[in-house]
Amino acid sequence: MEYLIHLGILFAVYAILGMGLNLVVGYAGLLSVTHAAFYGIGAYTTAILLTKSGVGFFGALVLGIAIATAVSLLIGVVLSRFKGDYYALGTLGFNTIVFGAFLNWKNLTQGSLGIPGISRPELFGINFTNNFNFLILALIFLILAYSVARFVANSPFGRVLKAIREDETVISVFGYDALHYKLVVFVISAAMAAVAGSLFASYITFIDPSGFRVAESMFILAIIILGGLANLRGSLLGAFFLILLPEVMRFVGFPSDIEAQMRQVVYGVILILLMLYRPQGLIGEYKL
Amino acid sequence: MGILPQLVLNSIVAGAVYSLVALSFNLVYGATKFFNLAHGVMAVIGGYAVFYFAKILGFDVYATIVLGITLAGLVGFGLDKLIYLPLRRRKASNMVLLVASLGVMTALQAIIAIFFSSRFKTLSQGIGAQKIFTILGGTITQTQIIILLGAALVTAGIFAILYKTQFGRAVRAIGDDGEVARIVGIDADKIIGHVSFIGSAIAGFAGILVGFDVGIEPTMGLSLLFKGVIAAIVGGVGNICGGVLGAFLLGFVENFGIWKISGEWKDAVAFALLIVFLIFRPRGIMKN
Amino acid sequence: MSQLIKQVIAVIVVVVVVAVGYFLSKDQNEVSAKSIKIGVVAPLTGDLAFIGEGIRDAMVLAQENSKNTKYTYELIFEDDQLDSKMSASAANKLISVDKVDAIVSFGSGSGNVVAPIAEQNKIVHFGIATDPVVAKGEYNFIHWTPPSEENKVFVAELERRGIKKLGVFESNAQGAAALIADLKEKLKGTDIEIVTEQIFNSGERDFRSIIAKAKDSGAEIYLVMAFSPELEVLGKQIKEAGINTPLTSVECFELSEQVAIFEGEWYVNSADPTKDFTDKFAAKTSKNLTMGAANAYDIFNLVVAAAEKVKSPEKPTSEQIADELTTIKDFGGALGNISVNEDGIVVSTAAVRMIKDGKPVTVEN
Repeated sequence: MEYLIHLGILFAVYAILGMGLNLVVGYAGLLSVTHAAFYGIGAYTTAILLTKSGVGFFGALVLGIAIATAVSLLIGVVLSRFKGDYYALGTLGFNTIVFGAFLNWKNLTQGSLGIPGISRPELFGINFTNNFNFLILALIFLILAYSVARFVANSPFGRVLKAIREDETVISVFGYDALHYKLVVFVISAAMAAVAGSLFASYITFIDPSGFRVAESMFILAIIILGGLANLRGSLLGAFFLILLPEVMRFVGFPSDIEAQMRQVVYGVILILLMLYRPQGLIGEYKL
Repeated sequence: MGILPQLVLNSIVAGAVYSLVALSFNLVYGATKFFNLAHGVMAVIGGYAVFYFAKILGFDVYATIVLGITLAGLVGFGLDKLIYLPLRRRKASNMVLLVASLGVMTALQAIIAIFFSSRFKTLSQGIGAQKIFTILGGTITQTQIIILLGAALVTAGIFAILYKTQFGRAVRAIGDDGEVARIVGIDADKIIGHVSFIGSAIAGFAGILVGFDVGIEPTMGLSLLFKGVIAAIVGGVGNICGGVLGAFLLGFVENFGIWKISGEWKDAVAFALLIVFLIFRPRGIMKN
Repeated sequence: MSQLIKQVIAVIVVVVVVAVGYFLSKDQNEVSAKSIKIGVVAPLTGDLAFIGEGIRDAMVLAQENSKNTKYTYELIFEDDQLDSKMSASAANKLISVDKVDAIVSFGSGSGNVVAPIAEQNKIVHFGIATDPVVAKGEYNFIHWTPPSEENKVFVAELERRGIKKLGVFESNAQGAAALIADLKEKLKGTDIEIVTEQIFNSGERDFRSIIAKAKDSGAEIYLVMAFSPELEVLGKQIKEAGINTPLTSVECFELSEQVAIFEGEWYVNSADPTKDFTDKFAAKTSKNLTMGAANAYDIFNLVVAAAEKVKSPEKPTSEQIADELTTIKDFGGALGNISVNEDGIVVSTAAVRMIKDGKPVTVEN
């Protein structure tokens, strides 16, 4: 049971991450590979504040969102001028640089030593070291995130995003400042990632740089591609599968010395098959 | 003078390796127009082929090098026919191809690890077997000189093929405009198959050289690929000459960056170079 | 979303849930009364898979050599790729699904994630980690000589040899960082100075420029804090740069695949893996010892020793095993004579060793 609760919490965190990224990739059509950087900013802000100051979980959450917003504004302004593959590579570069900061800005982050002993949230005296209570909290955040994402996606703002995705030149002819829209959605998604980061840091109680490198951004990208782009429920589905799949594979009986490698092989083959036979992901609307 | 000659030598050797990767990447990207994440694995295949045939089976070293290059080429060719060609026929977008290549990379790396374990291995006999030369106050090993020569030869060879043969003309035509090339009667798919072979073979060669200079491990492909991609973009994607220039620029920036900043920031510096170019000169050093 | 797709998804979801449920219930029915399960969380895939493989081989070796015990001991291995969320998932699965009685982890990152889970579930947890925080709590233990012990011996040896200028090559990773931070503390108040400190990231294979930077610093000896394969590549490139300055290390040389690179160099080791263990390991796996393997071997035997000592007609609980563990002193392990101290840290004294004729040899002072 504990195991399932744990998986549920991970699912909630990655569903929030996926939905945020889906806004940028699925709705606005921008291939961003830097989501882990904002995830990390939220996580580290919470980790540092909860261990070194009296600021509580919710205060740290807000501050994490603020910092992620500022950084994403900066990065977004620079990146918004790039197109297609260059945008992707630029975001990848930023992720590497932010990861470098997590790893080497030792006075702030303790570098590779990581920050242990992060406390669980304190709210109305509820004991959040009980994982079931934490799961409820995580699910509440998930519902909030879903509502925000749905609001953005279904609003006139969202419609303009989709138009930009389909043909940016046309939409600018109509007088819409595409740059502005791309920037706003990027910042919103960064804020959502920071929330996921705060939740994760407090749950797992130990943060180190290794969870926020480019590979993590690729993993979140894989979640939304699998689930389906421009479909929020698709992100939920993608998170469900990609968190669960390696766990289910634990129970499949490969001989132990190649078991873990075989899991990677299966994972790779699934991606290939998906792309060959169902590139829009499970329930996506936007074919990559 | 002190440290400068050594830094210059280090930069040139690093640049030579990157130039091979950039060259092969440019060839394949120019023809297929998508970011093939599995390209780096071709280098790994070359390295491990030499390891297996030379060190385990004891064949003659030069023969195994040729074998390794050919094997890498064949794998690249095979992947194109099996996976990327069907996707191209379905008019799959670049993102789909990218994700498919991610699957290929994940699966292939794991398969290599299953057969050879993930331990780092060297192709050379161990220390002390290397002849070391001193040039103007900096040291360079025999293997590194071979790297320089090898890179120069391959680059010259590719230039000759691209500009002096009909095949080369066809490749350049596809690179400029695939649709028009097809209309004019060029069998694009066949050419792409050949280019995949050549590009993967060159990558395999790069992997073998790195294997002799430093060593091999199943996961070494991705970082090699990224360096090659940065070099290619800095030089102007698809531009062979530019890729070479970009590679040496990257080598210099990395090593002089280490000198002026410190070793931990090496990767961040490489990506910062990328971003600077993406912002200020996205078409690369060479005006196309 | 078409009807067909909805149906396909529904089927997949149902299959997954049923599969997980089936396996969960299956494992619960297989709990046997006299069997003690030890779960191991280690990197079995990824860059450091060879370390996880070494730990697995060492523990299986220990299991094979363990005879005449009251209970049977089972090992269950789970991969975590040294990724925090996977460490947490592996630990949760082992504890709540497999119902292990003890759990082992590798690395301070993993250890720090698994420790609170183990403590909350009252399961014995042994970390192979440098960070002392991992041992916090009644149920958490560490088997790895703390950096401060190693540095005590290291600084003493530096002073004995009259070395005043130390150069440092340091891997940007937890183990090395912890040691160097402690070393800097210890060097305050001595006349030994760190004249150059070159840091590189794990995964780096080209050290030539940081070597060039260090060359001019006038260091009398270089402290190399790196693990395989950076260690061998760095050593090789230092020699290729024509540098003959002596190299030293804390811990790392013996774990090297190519010990010959460090012929004639002295270093500090956290006790010596016994020849007996090294031979057995080589015989079983035909590979060299990897980091943490000897520790893992000892951990298995420590848990067995503690469980066997518990006076109880039924299978000992984790709490009882934890209590017995803290009483273990002067235990003959793969890393020599070890004792568990009251903080839950297994202490073995560090020693100065040297590579002679390709083999580690303890230096008598």
